[in-house]
Amino acid sequence: MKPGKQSAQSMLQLLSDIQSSDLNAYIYTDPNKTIAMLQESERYCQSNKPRALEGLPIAIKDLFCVKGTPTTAASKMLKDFIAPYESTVTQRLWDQGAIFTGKVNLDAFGMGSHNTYSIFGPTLNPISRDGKPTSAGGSSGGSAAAVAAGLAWAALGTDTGGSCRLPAAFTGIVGLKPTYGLCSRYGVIAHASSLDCPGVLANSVKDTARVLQVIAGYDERDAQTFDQPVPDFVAACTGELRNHKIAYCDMGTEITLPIPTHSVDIDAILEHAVECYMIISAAEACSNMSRYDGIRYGYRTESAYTNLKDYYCKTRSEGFGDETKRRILLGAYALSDGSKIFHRANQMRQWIADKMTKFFAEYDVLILPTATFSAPTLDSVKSMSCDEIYNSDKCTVTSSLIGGVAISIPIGIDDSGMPMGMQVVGPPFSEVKVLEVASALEQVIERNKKITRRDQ
Amino acid sequence: MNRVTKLCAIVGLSDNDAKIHAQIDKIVDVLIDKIYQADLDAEYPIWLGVKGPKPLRKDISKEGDPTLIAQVCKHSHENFVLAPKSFTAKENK
Amino acid sequence: MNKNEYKGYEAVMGLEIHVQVVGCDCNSKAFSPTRATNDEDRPNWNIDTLDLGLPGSLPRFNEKVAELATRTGLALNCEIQNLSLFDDKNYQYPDLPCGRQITQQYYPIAKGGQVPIPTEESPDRYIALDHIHIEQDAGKSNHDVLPDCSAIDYNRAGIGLLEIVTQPCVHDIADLNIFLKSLRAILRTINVSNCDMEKGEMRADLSLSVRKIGVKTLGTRVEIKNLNSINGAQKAAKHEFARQVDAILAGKKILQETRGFDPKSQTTFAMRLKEDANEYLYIPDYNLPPLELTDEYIQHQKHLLPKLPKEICTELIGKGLSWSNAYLIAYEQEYLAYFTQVTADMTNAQTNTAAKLMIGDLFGLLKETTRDLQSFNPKHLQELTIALDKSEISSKIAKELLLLAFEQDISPKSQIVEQVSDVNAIATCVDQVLLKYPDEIARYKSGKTNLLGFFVGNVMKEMRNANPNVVGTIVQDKLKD
Repeated sequence: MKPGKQSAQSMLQLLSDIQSSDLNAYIYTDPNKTIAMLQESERYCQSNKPRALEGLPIAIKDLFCVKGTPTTAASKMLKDFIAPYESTVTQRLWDQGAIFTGKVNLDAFGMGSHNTYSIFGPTLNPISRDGKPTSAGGSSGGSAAAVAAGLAWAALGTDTGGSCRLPAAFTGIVGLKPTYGLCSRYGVIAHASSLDCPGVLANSVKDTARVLQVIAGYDERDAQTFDQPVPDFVAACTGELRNHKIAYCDMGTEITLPIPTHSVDIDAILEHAVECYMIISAAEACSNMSRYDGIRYGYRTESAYTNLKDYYCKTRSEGFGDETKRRILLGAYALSDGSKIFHRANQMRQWIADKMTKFFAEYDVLILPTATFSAPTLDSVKSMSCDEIYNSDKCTVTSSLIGGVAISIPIGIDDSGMPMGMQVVGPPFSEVKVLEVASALEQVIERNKKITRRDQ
Repeated sequence: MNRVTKLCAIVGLSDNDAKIHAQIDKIVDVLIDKIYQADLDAEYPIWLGVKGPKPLRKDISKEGDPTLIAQVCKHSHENFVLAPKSFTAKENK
Repeated sequence: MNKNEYKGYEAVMGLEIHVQVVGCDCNSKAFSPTRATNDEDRPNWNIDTLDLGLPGSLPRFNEKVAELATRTGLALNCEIQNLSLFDDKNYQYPDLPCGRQITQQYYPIAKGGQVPIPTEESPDRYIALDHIHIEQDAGKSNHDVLPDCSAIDYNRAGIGLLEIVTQPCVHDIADLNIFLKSLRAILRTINVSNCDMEKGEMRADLSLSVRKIGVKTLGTRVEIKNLNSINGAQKAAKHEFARQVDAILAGKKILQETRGFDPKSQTTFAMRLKEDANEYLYIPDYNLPPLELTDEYIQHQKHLLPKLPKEICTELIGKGLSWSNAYLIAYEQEYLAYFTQVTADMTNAQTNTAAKLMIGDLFGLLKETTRDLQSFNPKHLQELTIALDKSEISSKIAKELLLLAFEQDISPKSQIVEQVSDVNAIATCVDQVLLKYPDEIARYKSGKTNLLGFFVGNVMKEMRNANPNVVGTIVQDKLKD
């Protein structure tokens, strides 16, 4: 892909590359719309200064309502749903001159870690392990693969428990989860309302910051956004490490970093983070899936049914995929009988948040791997048990639970030749600090070189 | 298997997917075990969200969009949404 | 306290009242910006993304509903909570667009409280409340439009509801009536809702269990849903009370169930029995931040409260009204507004007279027709009251003039000819009359002083609007010598 702002010719080439790609990153394109937007952008530039994202091709995870486009959540439930309205964050992109390249693949409703739970089939990692089809990570697998393969300048994803960061780490690019509530969720199909964040995937920390600058900020249509000004994220990407006190936990990977850090042990805090996250996100997912019943929109069963209850069961069982059903049932269990289990996880969440608040009073940011392993082959994903897959998120869920900031940047290649990612994490509203450290780390890391470990 | 069947009825899912049921049963036991292992005070406060200025919506009404039904609903009649009939009181006896 | 008794059993009742936040002070729905109105006839016109439960739609809480809920809680003596939370109640039904209803299950906006249910013997009685919480209304299902499906209209979906929940402390079926009227009066006075039950602006769910008199434990509770008239609530309670007692005495068990009420047959009927106890999978609605109300805000709302029916009733009694007249006016917003207009600049005595006229006479006339109080010009009532108070007319005349005003809209004042008290004019007339009756004058002067009435009567015949007291004084003066 031609770097930066596209011309009509380069855009046509890009569209052609998208068509011929076998990564299965894109699940919907509308070349006429793309070209029309580019032409509009060129017209605009004839008498105006270029806007923040002028002419830049951006792929959109298929959880975002883009008006007039199929918005499927990669589920049979919404296979034929065409969004009648635009999400706030995508509208902000188009208002700054960005060009829509298409909708990209994901785990249905954002539930998954390897983009294997999609009616469109899995997305392939552009980098393969042992030459075999390899996981691009999830749930924003399509977003990551598109950017990593040069099929988009950047992509929007969503991050609920690591869904932007894990695929970014697996494909060797940058993935950002901002503070919860910084970016509006209006028009974003909900997975877990207290955890979902629109997120950004791009090739560099600065590119990520450029997109974040455009989409972030108060939206009166999302009651969880903040009515306060947004800092200058792009300016924070100086590449210079300031006097931040940086904590580092290698999570057993023994990876060494080329910047000064304080070694910490956060096992006690992380110990119950995964089950806490799973229970909360499943309970919220269960509730968010209640509206999918085919009555007003979406899939309706074609089989005969005896009564209303039967109709609901048939429609929802046929429309939802296996993983969605597992989450719904898990969530229902946590909420049944007076929601005792959910309540306990809710308390655990506050406990973790209190511990992390104390932690960040001492340290400015925390660095830890995005995952302790690199992308597996799709075959080995098939043989993983469900809870093995859930544990892929071990390093990412804590920052989600506290509503904090986390960015994954490529840290190098492991022994199998697969990229790995390292996260810079901070408390809510610490984007500036996190971007400063991340851009500084990015400067001194060579992402295509082998990772250095402690015993070497 | 019984508890999963009961949950299926509550959330509107068919209870004939044995494989998923087995998976859920396993996951549930593991997760529940783990969350109760934690040494957590029974009265510990709950998470209330990220704090910050979040004003309430002003009471200004806007016109609805009557075209929404036509745009998204495939089962409508004169702008009513059509739903399968539920039991009526008469049918109950 | 009065209690109903039936075959040695008493009823224990509680109410859950749903009040729609429409019209009055509120423009938009509780969680979406479309209009808070029941007046939209065209189906699915007053809807937005959230009202249809579209993917990606989000609720935003209306500050006006917070204000009205606070106002209601304060008017009912509740403790307004500085912090309350919103929860989702998950269940599936076609008229529920998101497959869940936003409510406040664990931390409601107001706790405790009382609704006054005064009677003349016990003017300070009340029904204790458990709490008040905010929730949202569902759409409407119409099962009769088409034969094999239901037609759903989401115009109503998302309108705010205040749910007012009593303790199970009602024992007298008659109190249901007093309670609902009292609550309605208060809510109208504070301009939260018109509580028109026929329009669905106020709906009642009644819980009823029975127990042998003297027993402390509660029986099995049955819920009767969606009572949409005050009389309906009473009739439903009456029927259900008897049904349960008769069933127990026949050896049957009372099922914990939900029943409906059929106003035609005035009986309760079983609705579809749920297999398990209701499982609603309550979860916090994390799209909505916690509702935080400062002490300053709550105090400010308290200052803005108008006078409530109880205080107004006490005031009217202080002005001399009978208890029942005062209660009738204070607890019916329509009467109160009208009465306030009529008696705006009146003395206490006049106010009392106005009340008697309105309630004793005017209401009687209204009852025979389909007219409402507003159709009778308040000025007419004012004129009558003042004339009566000043003894310009007798009460007999007042009734006649009232009827005339009621039937033909004729101003009473125009019919009350000015009383003449002009001494000279009267004296002239007296002289003329006395000339006619020399014999009677002689008899009067010789001691028959009761002929005074005869002379006054004859003067009144000549001068109909003379002040009879003045006439009498003048005649006496002239016949002194």
